[in-house]
Parts: sequence; C-alpha cells; structure tokens
Amino acid sequence: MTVLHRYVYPLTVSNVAAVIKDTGSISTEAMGIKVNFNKFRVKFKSLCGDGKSVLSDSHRAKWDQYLAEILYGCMSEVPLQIAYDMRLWHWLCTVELSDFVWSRWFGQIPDQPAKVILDTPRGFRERFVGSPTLHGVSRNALARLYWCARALYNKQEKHKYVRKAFQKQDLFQAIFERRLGLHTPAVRACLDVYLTEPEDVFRKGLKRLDHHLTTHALESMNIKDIKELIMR
Amino acid sequence: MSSKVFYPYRTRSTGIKFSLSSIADGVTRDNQNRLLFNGECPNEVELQIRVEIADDLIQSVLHDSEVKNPPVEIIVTFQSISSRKRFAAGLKNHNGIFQGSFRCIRTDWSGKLEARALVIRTNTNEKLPTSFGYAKGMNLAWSEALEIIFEKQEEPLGNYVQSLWISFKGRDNLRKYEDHMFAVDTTLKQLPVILLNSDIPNARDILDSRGTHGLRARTRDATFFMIAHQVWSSILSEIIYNLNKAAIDEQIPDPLDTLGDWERKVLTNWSTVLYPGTDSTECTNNLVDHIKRGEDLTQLLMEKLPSIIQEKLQTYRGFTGLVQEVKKQ
Repeated sequence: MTVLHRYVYPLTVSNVAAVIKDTGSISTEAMGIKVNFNKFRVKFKSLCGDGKSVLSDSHRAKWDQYLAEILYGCMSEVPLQIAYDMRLWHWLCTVELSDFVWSRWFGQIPDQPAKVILDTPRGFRERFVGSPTLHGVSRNALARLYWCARALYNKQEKHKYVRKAFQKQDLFQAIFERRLGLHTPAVRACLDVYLTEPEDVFRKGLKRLDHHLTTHALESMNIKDIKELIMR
Repeated sequence: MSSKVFYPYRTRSTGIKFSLSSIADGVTRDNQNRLLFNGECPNEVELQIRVEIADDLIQSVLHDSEVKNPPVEIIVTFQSISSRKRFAAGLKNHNGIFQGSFRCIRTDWSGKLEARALVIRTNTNEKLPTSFGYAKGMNLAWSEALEIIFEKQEEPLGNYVQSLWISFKGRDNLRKYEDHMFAVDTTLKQLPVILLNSDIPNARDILDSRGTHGLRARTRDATFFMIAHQVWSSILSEIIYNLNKAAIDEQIPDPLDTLGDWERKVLTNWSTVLYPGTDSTECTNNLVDHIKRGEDLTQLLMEKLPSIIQEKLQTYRGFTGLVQEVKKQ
C-alpha cells in the first residue's frame, strides 16, 4: 500500500528536472490516505513489456483506455479534495508511478532520467506537472486518466465512454481543454459525433460548437440538444 | 457573460437580482460579495438561492408573440474549473420570486465556484425575426456572477507588498536616486512598499499597461521580474537579519515574536523553500533553530536565496518572453 503524498508547493516545467534528479529536493507531506496501485502496475507491465524497447506512439496511446479505469478504481476511495490537488499528481508522476510516465510519453524508461529530462521538450515535461486548469490537468500523465474516468464512468455503461475518449488523443485534448469538457453530456455528445471523423472536421466542429456555446447555457442542455447544436 | 461576447439578438444583463446565502456557521461574505467557506463550516451546507426578475425583463427580450406564454426558464448555473464541475439548478416560482437550494458538500469542492442566474429559452422557434433569440438553451438575460470560495487561497506573493508611483526628484530622501527605477521602503510596520519612480521616461506607461502580448507587455513583465527578484531578496534578507538579531538577544525567548504580522506571513509563505521540513510550521521552526544555533547564514543568503526566488517566481519567463519578441523582429 502506498501512502499518498503531495509536494509542499507545485512543480513546474522549470523545476521538474531538478526534482527528477533528486526527489527530495522539494519537501513532501503525507496525505493520510493509503492506495494500492498494484493493479495499475500489473496492467502497465503487461502492456509495456520490459520497458527497455521503444514502442511507437500509437501503440502506447492505446494504454490509456485500459489504465484510466484501473487508476480510477485504485483511487476510488481518495477524497475529491485530495484528488483536486495537482501537487498529489506531481508526486505520483515523479515518484510513485514515474515509470509509467516515462514509458507512456517518452517511449522507454531511461537509464539516467535526470540527464535525459534536461534535453526533453517542454511538452514532455508537462506530463509530470500541471496547474489545476483545463490545460494542466489534460496534460498531466495521470490526472488526465483519472479525471476522464471519473467524469465518464457510470453504472450502466461502465467505462464505455472512457475508452472512446482515449481512442484519439487529439480529440481528447480538443474536448477536455475546453470548458465544455466539464459537462459530461457535452463530452458524450462530442465523442458520439466526432470519434469517427478526421482531425480537421472535429477541430472545426468543436471551434464552431464553442462559438455557439457563448450564447447558450450548456448546463441546461442534454446530449440530444447538444448534438442538434453541433449539427446546426 | 463576458461583455466581449457579441449577441446577435436581444439580451439583457440588468434586471436580475440573484443571491446565494447560508445560515451555516463558518460561511461568511467578504467585501466583494463572495461567499467564503472557512475552516469552521460544517461539511454539508445548504445554500439558499433567490432570484428576482424585473417586471419588464421578459418583454424586453422576447418577441410580442411570445410574451403571454414566455418559453423561458430561470436557472442558476454553477461552474468550477478547479472542482471540474459544471451544472445547472432549476428554481421554483413562489409568487414571482424564484427560489431553490443547493446542497454543498464541502469536501467535494476546491478553489472557486462561479454561479449565475440566467433566463434561457426552453424551445426553438425559427419563425422569429432575427433580432430575437430563437433556439432552445439560448441565453436571454443574466445576472452578475457570484463566487463561492471553498478554501483560503494562498495569497499571491504580491499581496504582501504595496506599490506606489512617486517622483523620486520630488522627495528629499530619494532625490539622489533619481535615475533608479524603484526603491523598497520597509520602515512602515504594516506592509513593505515598492516605490516606483515616475520620473523614468515611459516607465509608468509601460509598467501600468494591461496587454498580454507584444513588446510592451514583454518589457513590462521582464521589468517586473527584475524588480520582484530584487524586492524579495531585500525583504527576505531583512526578515532573516531581524530574526538573527532577535535570536542573539538572550532576553527574547522566541525570535518569531519580534516579527511584524506581514513579516510572519511572508516567512510562512517562503519557509518551505528556505529550509527543509514537511510543512511550513516545521520549516519555519527549523530555520529559527538554525539561526539560534549561531550557524552561518552566508550559504542561505548568498547562495540559496537567489536560487529559490528564481524558482518560486519563475523569473526566467521575463527573459524568454523578450526573446520571443526579438525573434519576431
């Protein structure tokens, strides 16, 4: 069992390299909650193999739909107030489940992460960090899995929409980095309409939907209403 | 609703009185009319919603043909990015006053929640003239937004420091610094003050500008980062110096007691990066113990302070922002 911790202040893309070099360089505090991540680790290992060979982007992208539901299950007892705190996710990404972040977004676990991270682009380092904003959560390697699963899981359909959401990374980002991504019916409607569409279609469509939503109360709309708005 | 949104049909942003209230202990209101949930409030709080609509509002946003049986609904929307929630609450009409309640579980929320009362269409009527909102869900009228704050936000560092534009030439004690951009005054015991020199050409124009892009904004930001670094270096050095002075005075049992209110807040805010420990209290105590033991402060002041200020404020952004503008040239 892992005792959850969080950093005493948030990590950023500028200081994450120093933390990866020395995880003790920024103090942490225990959250008083224990979580068993074994199921996550076991599934992750079965997906990535030995972690030494480099797997393609498209191959690794498929992991998200399986791991999201498992991560959500592992953390089902974590109080929301703790899950909202990005410093928890920063700690999980740099300490407890860092192997996953490296494998998923870098392609492999480097022998010397501290050296390697210095040469990585900002976009990769964002996977370890993030502020509590739409963008920040969507880019953090673990927070994105958890919050998507939390938003889209229900008892009837289970994780059907969670799996849909992770089928296209660009569509995932295009939805969840917009405010409409906070409204579950809107997310479902967008996935139903755009999942089989090419990127240029869903990018234009979501931009148009965003424009419509400046004059509509999204919160009052159900899936059917939103789909009609998308089609307008 | 942003004033920058263009509505191609009749709308109204006045005429709706919207209030949220609670009688629960620990729920207070600040001078910006925000509801604050502080530490004493119970975990479950009932918020009462009340909305009053001006008599002429409906007819001002609807076509005459719809005024008699207005296809509208009064709702309150709630949106919180930090809590990742967005939903609406319906209201019941009690003799012209729309009321409802919202059961708020304190531990389900984080940060800020924004609420707003809206008048929205409940159906689509494509026969209406173009100057009227016609589609189901369209916003026809809205209130001012109300905010609920669920936790004490960590006060931005700038809240501990005031700034003031003055003419350095016009002050006896500052005249000799007339070509300086700024000075720091910590003689007032309430808050330190950054004195910005209005005699420097273009300084006020640029530093008071509000833009987010372009050379002016980048110059402003780079200058502020420069000032911020120096100011915090001076303030933290002074606080540590004062602590050190108190620590060597055997008459003073606890050096922290000699610090002013703002000095203690600043120290608490910076303590976790100044000295190792698990939380701000432990870090502050560790720092005081270090000082009391008479250990050398050179490493802390000369090596660590510049580094932690850059790290906490990410002052490199001032440089990278300017480089971006240079590259565009």
